[in-house]
Amino acid sequence: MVSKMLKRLQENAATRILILVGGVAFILLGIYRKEVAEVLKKSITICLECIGIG
Amino acid sequence: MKKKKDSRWVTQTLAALATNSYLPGFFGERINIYKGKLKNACVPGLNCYSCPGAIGSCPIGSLQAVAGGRKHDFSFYVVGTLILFGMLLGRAICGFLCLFGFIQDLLYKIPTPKIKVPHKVDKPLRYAKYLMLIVLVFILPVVLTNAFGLGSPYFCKWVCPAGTLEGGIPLLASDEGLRNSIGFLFYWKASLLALILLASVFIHRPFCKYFCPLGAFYGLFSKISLWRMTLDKDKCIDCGKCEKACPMNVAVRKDINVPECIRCGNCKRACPTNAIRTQYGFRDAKRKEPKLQPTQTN
Repeated sequence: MVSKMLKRLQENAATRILILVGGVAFILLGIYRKEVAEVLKKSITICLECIGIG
Repeated sequence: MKKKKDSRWVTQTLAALATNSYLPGFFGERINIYKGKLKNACVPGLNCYSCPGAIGSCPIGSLQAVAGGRKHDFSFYVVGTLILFGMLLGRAICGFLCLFGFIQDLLYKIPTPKIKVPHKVDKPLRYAKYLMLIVLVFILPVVLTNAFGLGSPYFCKWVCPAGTLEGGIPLLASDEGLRNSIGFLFYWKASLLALILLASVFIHRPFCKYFCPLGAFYGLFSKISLWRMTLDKDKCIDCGKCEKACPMNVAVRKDINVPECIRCGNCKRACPTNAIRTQYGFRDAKRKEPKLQPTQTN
């Protein structure tokens, strides 16, 4: 029964719209919390861990 | 029947060029990385932001950067971006837009005997990518911090072969200072990269199948993303050609939209009755009922 309900939810257009809206809300919340600056700060300096040095 | 051509490589090439189009990074006086504002945004695929050509941020690196910082333990911004990408394209990103996936595809084209990983090994190993996502990307950068409260990007540091290939090799090749700092970590990462690249010649996309945390995240959207595959069971003649053609070993006839499907379309091209289709949209395609012919009465 649970799997049937889950399947119906997955096929529901409203579920898809809701998750999309949720994603946009997360992005806006992240921008409000100034996370973008942290992403930029990390990405414009050579990441020593990524290249296997640090 | 004429075999349909796979033109996915065109999109893959264009995506690889577009996300790594900062040419001064490669051809400047000294190899360096792009420092502009485009890096505020994440690219959809696994593309190291320390690659000299990268014009956007790697989503997996960004997740760890925010979580490992002092201000926040969780990045709503990056997770929201990934939800958006996951909903709009799902794992089609792996099939069409990811540079490291493309590199593995190219290596698999080298004509050698191919290996099919036995089911007993293949199935449990597929869960490793979820462990990478949960443990190395989400938990360790928050929990395992140094004296200043900063966490390392553990996936990038100990695993990510894309960082070694796209960032490490070109930067180290051009910078003597960086080269002098090479130690155990680099040898470890270079060995991992070599192993994955070598395995890619014999096994289709081993990194995507077993270890990629980004693929694990997008896989969560396989059933609900707007880009889906559909199998018309009325047209299906159970020949199994789709499953033989699937490089990700998906049991297409059982369930087509599983997390492993990267929407490469090989099943669709292999189907002799055109029972498999690609669908894009919010609603699931309704099965067409045969039109009833009006009966003529004299």
